[in-house]
Amino acid sequence: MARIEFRRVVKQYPDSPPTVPGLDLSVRDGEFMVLVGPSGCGKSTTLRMIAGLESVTAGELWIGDRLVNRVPPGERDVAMVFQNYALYPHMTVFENMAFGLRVRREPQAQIRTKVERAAETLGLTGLLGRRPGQLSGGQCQRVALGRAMVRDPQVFLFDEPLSNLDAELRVQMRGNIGRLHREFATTSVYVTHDQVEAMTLGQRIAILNGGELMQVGTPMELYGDPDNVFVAGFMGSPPMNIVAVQNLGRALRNAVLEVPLAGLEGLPGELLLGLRPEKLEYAAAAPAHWPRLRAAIEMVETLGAEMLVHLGEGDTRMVARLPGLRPLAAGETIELAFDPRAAYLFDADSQRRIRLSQPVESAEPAL
Amino acid sequence: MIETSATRLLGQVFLLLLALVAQLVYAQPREELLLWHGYRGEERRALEQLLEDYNRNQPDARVKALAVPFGSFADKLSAALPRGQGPDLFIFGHDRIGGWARAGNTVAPVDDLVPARVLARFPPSLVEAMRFEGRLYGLPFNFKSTALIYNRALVRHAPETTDELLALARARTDRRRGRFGLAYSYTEPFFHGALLNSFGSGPFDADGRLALDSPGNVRSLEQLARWVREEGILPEEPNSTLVTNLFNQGRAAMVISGPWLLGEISEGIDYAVAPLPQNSESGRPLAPWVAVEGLFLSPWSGRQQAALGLMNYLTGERAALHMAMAGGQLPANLNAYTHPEVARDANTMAFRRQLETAVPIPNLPQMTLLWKPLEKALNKVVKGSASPAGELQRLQREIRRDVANLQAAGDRAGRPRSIPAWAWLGLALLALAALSPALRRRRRIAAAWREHRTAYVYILPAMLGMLLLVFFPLLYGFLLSFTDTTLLNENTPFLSRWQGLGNYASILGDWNFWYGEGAGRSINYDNFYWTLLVTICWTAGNVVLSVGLALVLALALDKPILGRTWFRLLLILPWAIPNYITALVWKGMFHPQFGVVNQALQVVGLAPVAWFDSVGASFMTGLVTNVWLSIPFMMVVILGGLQSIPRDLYEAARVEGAGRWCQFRAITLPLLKPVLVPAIILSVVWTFNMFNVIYLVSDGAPAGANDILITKAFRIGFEKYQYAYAAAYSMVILALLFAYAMWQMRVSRTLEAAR
Ligand SMILES: Nc1ncnc2c1ncn2[C@@H]1O[C@H](COP(=O)(O)OP(=O)(O)OP(=O)(O)O)[C@@H](O)[C@H]1O
Ligand SMILES: [Mg+2]
Repeated sequence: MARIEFRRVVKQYPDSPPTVPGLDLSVRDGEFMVLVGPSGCGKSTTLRMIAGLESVTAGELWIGDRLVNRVPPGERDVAMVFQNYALYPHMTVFENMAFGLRVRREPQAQIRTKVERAAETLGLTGLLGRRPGQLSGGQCQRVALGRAMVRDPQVFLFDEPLSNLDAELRVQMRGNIGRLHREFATTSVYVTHDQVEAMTLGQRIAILNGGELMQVGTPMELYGDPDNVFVAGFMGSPPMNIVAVQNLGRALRNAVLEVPLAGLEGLPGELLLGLRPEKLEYAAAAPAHWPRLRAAIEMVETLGAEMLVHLGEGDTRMVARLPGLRPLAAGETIELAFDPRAAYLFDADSQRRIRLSQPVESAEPAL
Repeated sequence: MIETSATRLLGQVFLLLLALVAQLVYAQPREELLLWHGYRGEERRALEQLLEDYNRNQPDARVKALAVPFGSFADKLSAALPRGQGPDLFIFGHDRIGGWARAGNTVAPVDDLVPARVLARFPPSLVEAMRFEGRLYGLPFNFKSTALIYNRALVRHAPETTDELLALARARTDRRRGRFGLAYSYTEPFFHGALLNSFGSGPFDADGRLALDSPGNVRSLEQLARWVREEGILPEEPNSTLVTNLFNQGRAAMVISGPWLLGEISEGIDYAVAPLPQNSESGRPLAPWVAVEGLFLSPWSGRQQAALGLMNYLTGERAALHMAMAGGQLPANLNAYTHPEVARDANTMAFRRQLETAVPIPNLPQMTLLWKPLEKALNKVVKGSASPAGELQRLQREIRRDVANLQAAGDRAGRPRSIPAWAWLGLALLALAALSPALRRRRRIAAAWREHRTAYVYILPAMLGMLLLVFFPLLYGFLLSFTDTTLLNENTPFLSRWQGLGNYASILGDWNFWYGEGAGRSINYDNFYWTLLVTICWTAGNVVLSVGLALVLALALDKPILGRTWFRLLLILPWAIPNYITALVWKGMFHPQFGVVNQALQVVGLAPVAWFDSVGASFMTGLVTNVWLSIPFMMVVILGGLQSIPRDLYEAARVEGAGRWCQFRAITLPLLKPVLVPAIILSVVWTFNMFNVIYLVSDGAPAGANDILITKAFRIGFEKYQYAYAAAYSMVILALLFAYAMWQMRVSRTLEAAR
C-alpha cells in the first residue's frame, strides 16, 4: 500500500502550452481517489504520469517513499486498467492474466493459483481458455481487471474503464470495483467522465480543469461546499443555477429576483448568485420571508415524480426541480421562492466563492 | 436490356476477331515483295533509301521492307518460314545456314538461279560462307569482323606481330591506375576467334567433325591464359561496355573490336584501325571470325524472279557504295572499295584488309551449340580454374554428346510414327473425366448461366485471354516435355518427336554428381540435384536475410526518430528502379578490378575478392543484390503490420514490467504473423524463380555452379536448344512450387485453426 504525492508537477508536451501547469495533490494510503473534469483537462495525462507512461517535465512525483520521476513503469509496482482493455489478442484469458507474473518469473504453480483465485473472484473461471476475441465487452473488462488484480500491486490505476460498457453493465462493474476496493483497500486512482461514477466510487474526488486542480474533497464537500463556480457547476445534475446579480448594498437584484442580505458592503457591484435547482420551491407553500422570483416558463421536462422547469427572463436562465403535481405549460409565468441560506455567492471576476458571515454563511450544506 | 446489348456487343467483337484471324490465315496473295531485316539507325535509313530508289525504277516489282527487332528476329524467322509464311527474302547472318538447311523449308538454295557474273562480285571466302553441304543458300551482303583499333596518342604504329603487341601493351599497362595495353572481350568465343584461327584449326576439322581439343585450339587458349594471367596486359571480367569505356577514357591503348565500336568512340580520342598482327607463336596472322550478312530467299516465295532481281540490285555496285557511305557498312561487293570516296577512308580500308585473313564463322548447325559452353570454358581457363587441354577435352565430350542427342532426335524425325493406341484411349478417358462432373451438374450449370448471364459475359474476355496466354502455353509446354524437340527437329510432325517420360527420367535420374576421378574430381554443376540444392539455399538465404533485415529496419523506422520520413523514402527508393537495372549496377560494383566493392575493401586494407571465381563468393553477389531488392517490399509490409498493432498493448506490457525484447517476443512477433506469413510465402515463390538477378549478376558463375533451376532451364532451352528438355525442367519447377504451395496452405490452415 502506498500514498501518492504530486509536488508542483508540470507536464508539457513539446511545442504546446503546458498540459498540467503545476499540480499539488496527494492520494492517501488505501484511498480511492477519483479524477474528474471536462474532456482534455489532463486526467489521463495525470494518471499516465503515475504509471510512468508519460515523463514528468518538472516537479516531484512520489509513490510511497520513493521519488519515481525516473523509475520505469515496470518497477513502480502499479497496475493499470485501460479504457480499451488492452488485452493481448493472441493470448488466452489465462495467459493474459498470467503475463505480468511470468514476466516477473514467478513459479508456475504460484501463477496458477493466483490467476485461478482472481478468476473465481471475477467469475471468469469457465473462460480461462478463451481468447479475447471470443469474449463480450463486460467479460473483457473483467479480464482486464483480473490482470491488474493478480499482480497485487501497491496502486491501481483506472482510465475510464467502464466507458465502453452499456449502462446496466456499468452499474454492475461499478459495484464490482467498489467491492474489490473495500476488500483489498489498495490505493486507487480512477479517471472518469461520469459524475455518478465519481460520486459513488470516490472516497475523495479531485476536479481538474485545464490541468489545474479546482478542488479536492469528499463527494459531499464538493456538492455542498464548492470553492468556485466551476466546481459548483460541475457537481449535481442538473447543475447549479449561476445567475448574474447586482449588489445594491443591502440586497441583490436582477430581472427576476431580489434577495435582501446583510454583509454585502465592500463587495463588488457585480456578483454571481448560485442556486441549486432542487432548492427552488413553489411560492405558495414557502415561508413568507423567503425571497421570491418570478419568471416565464420556457420548457418543461417531465421525469415522472418530478419535473425540470426551465425559466427565462431577459438574459437570465434558470432550472428548477419541482414535484410533478401541477401541469405547467410553456409561456406561463410562475412564482418560486428559496431559502436565502441555500444560496451561494461568487466573485464575478475570479469566479471564487464569497463566504458571508450572515446569513448565507450559516447555510446548511444542502441535501 | 443491358444483358441483350452486352451480348450483342460481344457478338460483334467476336465477329470482328474472327475476321481478323481469317485475314491472318488466308492472307491474300501479295503483289509486293516483302523483305525482312533487323537494321536500325543509319543502316536502316540507307537500306530504305535504296528500296525507294528501286521501287521508282521497277514499278512492277514493288518491295516492302519490315524492320524486325533484332532480338526476336531469328525466332520469328524459324517460326514463320517453315510454315510457308513470312517474307519473300530476308537479310540475316550466315551462321544459321546449316541449321536452316537441315531443318528444311526455311531457305531456298540459289546456286541454279544466280549467274556466275553475279558471284564474281564477292571474294571467294564470303561466297564460301554462304555454302552448306555443297549448295549455295544466299548472296553475301556485307561482313563484320574485328580488327585492331588503337589510340594514336598512345600507340605510334600498329604492331606487326604479337611480340611487338605484347611489348607495347606491357609498356602501356599500369594496373594500379587501371590502365591497360590491350582490351577486348576475350572470354567471348567470337573475339577469341582471332587467336584460335591463327593456329589454323578452328572448332571443326576438314570433314566438319567437332575437333575442339585439337593441339592448335589448346595452344590458343594457353596463349590467352598467358596474356591474362602472366602478362597481365588485359583487364579482368571484360565486356563490351568496359572495353568501350576504357578506350574512351584513354585507359586502353589498343582494343580488338569491330566497326560497331567506331560510332561510340569519344570526340577527343584520336584513333586508327589496322589489321590484326601476325601471331609470333604460330607464324600466321591473327584471323578473326567474320560474320557475313546475306540476302536469303524463302522457298515459299511466289515471286522468285522478282526476288532475285532485288538480290541482284542490292548486291550491285551502286547499292554497295550507298550502304558503305550512307549506312556505314562493309559491303561484300568488293568493287565498292575501289571508289575513291571509300578508298580514302583509312579505317574502312583497314577492315577491308582484315578480310584477307579473317575466317567466316562455320555455318554448321553444331556451331550454334558452341558459343555458350565455349565462353564458360574460356572463363574457367583465364581464371586458372581449369587447364586449357583438360577443359577443351571435357568440352569436346560434352558437346559431342549434345550434338549426338540433337542428331538422334533429328534422325528419328524422318520416320513417321503412328499414334499408339493407349494414347487415344488415355485422351478419351481424360476427356470423359473432365466432362463427367460437368454432365452431372449440367442442370446447375445451366441455371447458373441463366441467372448470372451478364456476369459470365463480362468475365468471358478475361477468361479467353487467360486461356490463350496462360493455359494454352502451359499445356503446350506440358506436351512438349514428353517429346525430344530440339532446334534441329522442331519443324517435324509433333508425334514423330514423342518419347514419353524420357526427359523426366534423365532429369530426376541424373546421378552424375562428379566429373573426373580421384584428385581431379569436381562437382558436376549441371546435375539437377546440385541446382536444386543451390536453389533451395538461394531461396532460404534470401528469405531469411531479407525478412530479418526488413524487420530490423521497420522496427527502427516505427520509432519516432529524427528524419524518419526521409529514411523511409530512401529505403523504399530501390523499389522504384527496375530490378534489372539494379542488378546490373550491382554486377558493376562487384567487378573485381573496377567495382566499388573491391576498391572499398582495398581502402580498408583488405585484399580484393575475385567475386565471380568461387562458388561461395559468387553466391554472395546474387544474395546481396536480391536482398537489396527485396527489402523495400518486406519493409513496407512489416511497417504496415507494425502500425496495426495497438499502442496500448505495449503500454500494458510496460506497466507489467516487460522489457523491450520481451515486448517484441510476446506482442510484436505474434501480432505481425498475419502479415509476415503471406509475405514470406510470396517471397519464397518470387525468389525461387528470380531469373533476373542470377542471370544478370553472377550469370551462374563459376561454370554454372550458381545457376538456379529457372536459369538452368533457360540455358538448356536457349543455349543448348534442347527445347523439350527445358520444357520438362520447367514442369519440374512448376511441380516443386505447386508442392510447396500445397504444403504452405496446409501449414497456414493449421496455424489459422490454432488461433
Ligand atoms: N502526445 C501529446 N502531445 C501533445 N499534446 C498532447 C499529447 N497527449 C495529450 N495531449 C494534450 O494534452 C491534453 C490533455 O490530454 P488528456 O488525454 O490527459 O485529456 P483527458 O482529460 O484524459 O481527456 P478525455 O476525458 O477526453 O480522455 C489535451 O489537450 C491533449 O490534446
Ligand atoms: Mg483520457
